Order: sequence, then structure tokens, then C-alpha cells
Amino acid sequence: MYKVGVIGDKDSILGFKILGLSVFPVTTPEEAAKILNKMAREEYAVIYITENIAAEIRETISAYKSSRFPAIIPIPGNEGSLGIGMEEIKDSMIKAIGTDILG
Amino acid sequence: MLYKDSNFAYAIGRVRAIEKRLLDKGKFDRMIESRTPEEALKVATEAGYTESSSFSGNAVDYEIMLKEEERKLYTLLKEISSGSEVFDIFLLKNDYHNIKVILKSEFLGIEIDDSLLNTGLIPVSELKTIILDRDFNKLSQLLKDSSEHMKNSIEEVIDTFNRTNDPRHIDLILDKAYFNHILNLSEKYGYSYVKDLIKIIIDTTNIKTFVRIKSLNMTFDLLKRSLISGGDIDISVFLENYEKGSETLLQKTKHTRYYNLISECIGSYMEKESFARLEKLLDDYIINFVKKSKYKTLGIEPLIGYLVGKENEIKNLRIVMVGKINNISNNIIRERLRETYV
Repeated sequence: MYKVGVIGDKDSILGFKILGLSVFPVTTPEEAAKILNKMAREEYAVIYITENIAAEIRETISAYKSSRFPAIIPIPGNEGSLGIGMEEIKDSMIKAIGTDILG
Repeated sequence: MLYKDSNFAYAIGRVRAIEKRLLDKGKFDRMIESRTPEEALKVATEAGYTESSSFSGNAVDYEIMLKEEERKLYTLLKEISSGSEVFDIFLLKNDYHNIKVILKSEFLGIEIDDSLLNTGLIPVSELKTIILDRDFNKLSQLLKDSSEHMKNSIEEVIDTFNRTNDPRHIDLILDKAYFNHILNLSEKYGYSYVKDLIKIIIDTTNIKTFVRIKSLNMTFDLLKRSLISGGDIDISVFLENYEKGSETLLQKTKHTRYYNLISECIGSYMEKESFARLEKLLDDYIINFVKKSKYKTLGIEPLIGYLVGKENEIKNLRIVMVGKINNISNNIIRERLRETYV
């Protein structure tokens, strides 16, 4: 069965544990990249990652852009949204239908 | 054995000496004002918190330091009170926590060993084998004459979970058993002060439960299963006033020592709809109760006071560190900080 995981700083992501998601607290970008690669190999279909960590490991994340799994989705961390998640949705949308309909 | 006040003369001397190192409001202010989590942590190290070998020096690992401090606290109290069983009463909290962790990990089929605490009365590895093998007779060897509560509650949890598959029961059953267990021990050993303290903890817990369940509009049945008996306010008072509302609860508790507390709790919850302030008020009530005994010259009180005061300090450190690491504004941290023992 495919799994859902969350990567980020401990206090931002611990709550996801209640929902039964696998939680991976990290403190450095290197750690995050390592865990992300490991999760991708281990049948994780969806990986949520806090925006502030995602911003620091863009390269690692973009390596999985073209593959079907895992879907890597940035979520706001403890400091609120940085707009990275929305930006990516817009990028994907433009790629899919050719125009930005969200404006 | 019933205890005599003079049994603790030496221990009190020791506690008086280390009490001075507890963090006061000024020190906590300094922590809150510091710009980085590392700077905040330095205040704690200055006050005697040690960096154990497994501590990396990184502020995000402050938990390791706090856990070590907790372990040191229990060892010290046990040592200076020449092994008095009174502190066992306070250690049992960690055993019940471990039981929850072990049972949950068994039911869910996952490993959560890093949530186990090694500050309990029963060594973690032994407790694990006892539960996994269902070998509860061993409990009576470890806990002597008070193992019945623990044994019965574990059996009840296993039975209830198998029937309902609802993990909520694990906490409800074990929390109740824990309070009954320690209340019973304090009675048996004749520590009326400790018994009083436990009653206050039960009452404040029940007040919290009442306000929470009421505000979430949960069922009466859940309230009935969550309230803990043995406190000064009989649980029937909470139950009878659940439908009628908080105002009538206030009327009914007018002549208890909790009147002001309950009125403040309800008021602050109504105003801000936040549990953070409510929890602080309840914790402060407990601290203020033990504070009164700080000036007693003999007896168990100053030792219990130090224990509760130190645990409270560790909780405060956690509040500050979590706040600092996550860039929470100083005002919010200050709002949540509990009153200090010194």
C-alpha cells in the first residue's frame, strides 16, 4: 500500500501524526534531502514538505517532477505561507492547459 | 511505615541549598528576550542544566537536556530522602505513560520506543515484557502491595480495546487508574499533604475536562467517562451541571476553595476562547498551593514543593524553547509561561 509522509521542522508537522501520516522531523536541508530520497524509494505516494524546507532543497524536489510518484507538495510551515505551494500549482497548470486561469 | 516529620531533616537542608538555583521570573524574562534559541538555552546551562554526552549543543535538541534534568531530579530526591517511598507516588506517572505507549504500539503494530520514559518506577524493558507476555503477577513483585490498580487497568484496557477498537479508551482507563492508584498510596503511607495535592490535581483536571468537553459540545457520556473521582468536588457536581451550563457550576462550587479559580477559568475561556490561558490558570493554582509550604521547616512539604517546582520549571523551559525555535512573539510566550516556584 502507498504511504503518505510529512517532512519539516518538528513543531510544524507533529500534528500530522494523529492522522496516521508518517512524520519525519528534520533540522537541516541536507537531512531533508536525504530523507526525501529515501522516502521516494519506499513507496511514498504523497510527501508533504514545509515550504521553508522545500525552498532550500528545490533541486532534490525537481528531480521528482517528471516521475509519477511521489507527489511532493509544499505546505505552509510555522511561519505561515511563503507562496511556494501556490506558485507550483500555477506552474503545473500553465504546463497542463497553457494559461494561468487563477490570475 | 507511617512517616515522621523529622525523617526528612537532612533532605530539606539539601533542597534548601539547591532551591536557590531554580530559575526565577527574571531569568525566564532573560530567556524570552534573547534573540536566538541558543542564547535562551544558555540561561538554562548557567543555572546548572548540564549538557549530557548525547546532547549536541544544538538548541533544537533541548529535549534531551530536559529529559536528563528530570532523571537527575528523581534520582536526587530518592537519594536524599533515604529511599522514601513517597517519591514513588510521583514516579508512577511515568510508568502509566509507558503502559500507554507500550499498549498503543502493540495495538497499532508500530514501533514507538522513542516515546518511552526511563524515569518510571519499573524499568522500561521489564514493563514491556510484562505487558507483552501478559505476565501481570510480576507487577506485584515490583510494586509490592499496590500493583492491583495497575494490573486491573491494563487488563481492562486490553479487554475494552478488543471489543471496541477505540484507542481513546486506553487513555481514559489508564488516567483514571493512575489517579486512584496514587491517591490510594498517599492514604496508605499517611501523607496527608500529598493526598491533598493529588486531590487538587484531580479537581483541576476535572475542571479542564469539563470546560473542554462543554465547549466542544461533546456527549454527556464522554464527560462521564473522562471525569476522575476522588477529588474534593464530587464528579456528580460536574455531571449535574453539564446541561445547565458553566454558570450553574459556578453557583454550586461557591463554597469550595475553587470558586475563584473556576470563575476565572470560565471567564477567560468565554473571553478568548483559548485553552492556553485556562491551562496556565490551573497550573498556577497547583504551584501556588505548593509555594505555601516553602517556608515549613520540617516535614515532607518542602521536598514535594521542590519536586513540583522543578517539574514546573522544566515545563516552562519547554514553553520558552518551543516558542524561541518557532519564532513565536515574546508576548505570546510570556502569556503562556507558568508562575515560577521561586
